[in-house]
Amino acid sequence: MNIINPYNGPEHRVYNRTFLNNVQVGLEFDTCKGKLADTETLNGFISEYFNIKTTDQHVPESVSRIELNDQDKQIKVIFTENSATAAVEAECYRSFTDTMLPLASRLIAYAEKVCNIKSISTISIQKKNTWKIVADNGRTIKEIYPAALRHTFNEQHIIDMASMALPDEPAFRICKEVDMNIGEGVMKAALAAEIKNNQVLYFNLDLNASAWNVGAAEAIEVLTKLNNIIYCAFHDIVSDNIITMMKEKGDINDSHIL
Amino acid sequence: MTATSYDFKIAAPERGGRWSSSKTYAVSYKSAAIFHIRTSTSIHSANYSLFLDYNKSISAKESFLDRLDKLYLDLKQDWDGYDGSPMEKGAYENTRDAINSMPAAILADWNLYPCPNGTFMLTTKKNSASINIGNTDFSYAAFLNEENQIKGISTFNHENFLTVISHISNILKHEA
Repeated sequence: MNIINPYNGPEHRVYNRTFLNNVQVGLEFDTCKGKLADTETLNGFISEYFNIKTTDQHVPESVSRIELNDQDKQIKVIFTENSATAAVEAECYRSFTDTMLPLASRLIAYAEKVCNIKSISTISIQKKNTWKIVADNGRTIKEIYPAALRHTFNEQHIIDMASMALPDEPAFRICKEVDMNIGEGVMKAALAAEIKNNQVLYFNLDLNASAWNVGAAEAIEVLTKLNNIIYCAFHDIVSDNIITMMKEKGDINDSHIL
Repeated sequence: MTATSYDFKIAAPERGGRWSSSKTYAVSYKSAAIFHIRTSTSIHSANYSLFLDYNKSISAKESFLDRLDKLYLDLKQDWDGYDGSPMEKGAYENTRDAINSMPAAILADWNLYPCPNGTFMLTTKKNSASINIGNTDFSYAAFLNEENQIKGISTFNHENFLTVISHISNILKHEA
């Protein structure tokens, strides 16, 4: 499994604050038809890995999707016959190692023990970051849009978005995407500016790193490498202003590692 | 994770089981393009203090740029009573680039002034450094003591300017 990080680092560090919105880890594999109908194996897996007893719940004869949520609906895990995903909202995300790898281990265990999968077709991480800008002092969002863009992202990534003429519409979205070869995988970045109305603008940066044909035994190592690529991509795209703000302490004392 | 409890739901039988996407932008679209709104974005209240700081920092930069625009538009011939020239277009555009490229944390230490020859002057609030930006070049000087000083003239471009700002910031780190 050859995953190449095209960036030249920075080292991982702890940030006091984050613009992260949510994080998702996902596996896709060959369809394991009928495996979800094996209620004994399924119940055993859910009981062991999520501490849930399901024997007293009605299980339909044909099941193709299982969803688990934590009590605050901040964590969602979904299993199907050809995929397993775990999504975490920013509020309960601490770091990739602390929050996502334990969930990923459960997804891998599902693939191996319930679906008898040894090789995962695609393994992926998605991180979504959001910045919200509210225009003030009598200015409109369109007036501050170029400066806000340059303030948030490094010039080389937004020069086209900053210089294009904005449409004469009350709401619109400007989006650009890039795909990057990372060896036996791909890193996709999608940068969007979403103008909701005259006063509110969102910037969204979605970073998605995937690897193909990953053995179940090396999945955790691959996920760690993919996360590192996303970390580097984030630092390449956002400006020093953003990194500086993330280093500062706010009202929340929790530490966040990308 | 043992401390987290889960609700268990089994969805009605359905085909596929993949996550559906609410985004509809074109596949492999490489350049910036305009699309109508299709998604709904929200932020978490837990990050509210960060978003307040972020908006304040944009406002601070906007205030700087507003002042620049006002100086460029308002100052006519003899604006200072000593036959001072209006601000030069090239100097205005270069200064705008300079302000846009300066990190907000560094910009907070600087003031902006017009010069009678139509150029712009950035000076630190403690008057230990100044940068004068013209149509094609910029000059700079920072002095703290014999060991910590810098001066020179350079062609104005993004890279040169940021290099000088970085040098000046390093010198001013030693300032009391």
